[in-house]
Amino acid sequence: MKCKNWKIQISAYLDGALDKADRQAVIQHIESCRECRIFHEKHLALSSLFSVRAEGKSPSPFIWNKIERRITSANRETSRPSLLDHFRLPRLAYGMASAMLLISLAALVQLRKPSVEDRQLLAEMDTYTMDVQGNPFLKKASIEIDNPFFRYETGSANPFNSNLEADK
Amino acid sequence: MTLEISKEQLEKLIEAAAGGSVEDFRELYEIYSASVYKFVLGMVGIEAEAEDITQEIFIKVFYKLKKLKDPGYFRFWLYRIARNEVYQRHRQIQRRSEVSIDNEEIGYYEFIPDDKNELDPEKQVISRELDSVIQKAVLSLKPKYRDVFILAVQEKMSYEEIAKIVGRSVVSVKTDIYRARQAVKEKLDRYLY
Repeated sequence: MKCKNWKIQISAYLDGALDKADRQAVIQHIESCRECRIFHEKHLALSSLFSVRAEGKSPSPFIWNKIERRITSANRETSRPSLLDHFRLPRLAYGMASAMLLISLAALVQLRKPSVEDRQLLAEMDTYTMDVQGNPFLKKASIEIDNPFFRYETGSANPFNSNLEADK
Repeated sequence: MTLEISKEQLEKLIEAAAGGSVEDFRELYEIYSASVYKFVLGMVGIEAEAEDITQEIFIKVFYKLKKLKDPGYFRFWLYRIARNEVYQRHRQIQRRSEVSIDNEEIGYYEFIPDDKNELDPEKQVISRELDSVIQKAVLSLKPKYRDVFILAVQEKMSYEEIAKIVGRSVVSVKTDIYRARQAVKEKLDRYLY
């Protein structure tokens, strides 16, 4: 075997990657070959240099805190239900639908309910109708209300009267 | 150095951590973090960067642990994730440096790491210089040589274990380690006696 191949074996020997027979063969070769012996010595020194150097290195104790914080915050994010999740639960979905329906109905009722002005106008119209029909109980009230038609009731400017006159 | 733990204990820890137990995952972290960090530091050469990558590695491990079918492969699987994370970060850095203003061909990881201020000033200077030279020698290696070299020489892993991590044959790993050794030795020759 050439020295280059022996060096590959020596490299593996230094890493403890050889079986007993190969180890013996490498030891015997190192004793007999100067070039490979120097190679072995240099690489043995190199290996110990790396081992010593690596021993002094250690990660910061704060790394775990950062990892833990990130894991727990991510877990909290995933465990917190979103607004959409509420709709995915059947019971809550029915509840939400019922509430929406009630709100819609209430809004509709509110919209259809006449305002104070509307109620007043309606009352006036009722009074006028009743008055025209000759309801004696509302006669007094009809005078108090400023009904525009009353103005023309007896006056000459009543458009209905003028029409009647024209017909005549 | 990896703490001693029986196979059964390790399997229990892995199963519990895969089920979402942060406490058990912390134990796994305590066992493997130092060696993973050293491997990453050997690959990147900057302490802050190595810590950042180590953090990312363990977060990935926590979320991917459910997918690990055989707890016996945890160590290889962990180093595989670590290696991938380092390569991924390396690619990101390369992309970033491609668009940087000063397009110098200085490797990102050819940075002299910060040193611990525990030694006396004279030794500190020597140690710093040697540390820097060693780091530069390792960083001058191609990534495919660098990872196998660190796993073998620094982490003392067997060639079979390394082959599983890097996904190459044992013979290929053996010759790659030899080549890496030779290259590093040439750079550090004057420091070796």
